[in-house]
Amino acid sequence: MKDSQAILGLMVATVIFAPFILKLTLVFWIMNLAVVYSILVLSWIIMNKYTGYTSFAHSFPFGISAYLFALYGFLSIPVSCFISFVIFLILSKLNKEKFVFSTFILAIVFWMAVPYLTFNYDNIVVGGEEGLSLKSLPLMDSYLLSSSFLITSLFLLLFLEKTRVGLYLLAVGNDEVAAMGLGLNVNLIKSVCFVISSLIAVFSGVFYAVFFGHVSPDVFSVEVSLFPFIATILGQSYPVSVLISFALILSTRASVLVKYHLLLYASLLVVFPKLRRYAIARGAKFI
Amino acid sequence: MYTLGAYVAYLLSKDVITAIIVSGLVGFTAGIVLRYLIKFLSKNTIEATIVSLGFGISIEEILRMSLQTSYFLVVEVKETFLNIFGEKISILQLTQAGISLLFFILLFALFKSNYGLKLKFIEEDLELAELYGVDADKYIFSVITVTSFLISVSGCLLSTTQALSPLMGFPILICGIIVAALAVIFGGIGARLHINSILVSVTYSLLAGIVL
Repeated sequence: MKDSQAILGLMVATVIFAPFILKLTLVFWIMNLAVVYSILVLSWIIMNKYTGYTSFAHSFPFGISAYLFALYGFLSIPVSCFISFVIFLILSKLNKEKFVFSTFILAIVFWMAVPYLTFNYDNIVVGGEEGLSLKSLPLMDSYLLSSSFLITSLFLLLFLEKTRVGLYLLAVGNDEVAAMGLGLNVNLIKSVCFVISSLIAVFSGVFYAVFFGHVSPDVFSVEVSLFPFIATILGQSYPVSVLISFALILSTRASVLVKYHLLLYASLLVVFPKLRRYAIARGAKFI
Repeated sequence: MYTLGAYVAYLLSKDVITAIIVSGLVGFTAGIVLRYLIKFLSKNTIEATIVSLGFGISIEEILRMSLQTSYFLVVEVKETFLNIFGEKISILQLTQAGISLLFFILLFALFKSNYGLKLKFIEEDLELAELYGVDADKYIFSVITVTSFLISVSGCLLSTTQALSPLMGFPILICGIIVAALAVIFGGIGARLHINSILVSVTYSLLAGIVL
């Protein structure tokens, strides 16, 4: 199982290097988007796999970091991470079912509220429905930055699963009470997972901002909040989920599906219980 | 379903009565589809919620793809006004108030009936209700279809008060969840829960109106 994960990890690395061979701007652009979303997916898996909480509010650290980065630069990283961590920690005091609903409400509330948010910047009102602009990085630099982060995080997480700490995390994710019985400090482990998950999601938001050079209220959209869940529909293996994220972004941004991608996501949500059970039954060795 | 009802009102805005009937039927049909999707695909509350969320987004996306423009206004309804205690109130507003009142009366009557008692039993303990021979599936089916019918009709009735867009259902969803959550905090099941819901939703609307 572990070897198959490493092989899949190498496959991800190969896919990430493909644009350097093709050298097409459009391929770089779409792959950059896929890499940013994949980082968000990794952050989501960390929370779901090691704490057992299903979040629909990962659009929050993603969006708030992108907005704050456009306004205050790198200071946004610790600030957004701290705010997101506190919010996830407070919501986790509810039970796991209520956490799903409350995070979804949070995501929708922010999505609805952010278009009303304006900032006075050098006597010019910015924000609102148009969002904020910032200086973007050249496409190649942006891609190198985000893809390096993705590959590093992916292999670090795969390595983590082989360590004793990784086993502790899995134990908490699978059964909190049993983990507590084994003498693990469950609250501390959950808090650490929330911090790591928030931090990685914050980085994905920052990469999104420097890639596009513009941040609009759509960074909080229901599409962003649902994407990690859809990408992990076949399980929570890091490389498989990253490959699915690539497949989803490539198929919906580089084809006729571009207008229909939300309908595709919605259809996947409808059939997700069957898909997940099928995946667990048939492909257990990969997921 | 709310968005669906509002769009039916837009498409059939020349005839208000037909729009209300059609929106109700469309909501009822969508409710049947949703019930079967939940029944055959999901096995617990979270799965059912996610399936219904996917179904709701699908409806919105189909509306967005088929009607393209972002915002619509229902303007063809002829407004007739009545002077009641010095206040100018439209017939449409009176119809909305009348239907709401009728709905609440029916709801309270329902909880006094045999059907309502069985609903309360299912609400309290599903497994126990099934052990006592209550056909929970039949009751869940009726609740989903009837609520879909009602929310679609309410979308139709309130369509004149706001701009229509595929995303117009989300604020209603949030308000609904907040009101339901607060009503649950105040406690009660059956009719008492609904009285709490009405009180909370009226307070919420007044506060939202004053603050915003």
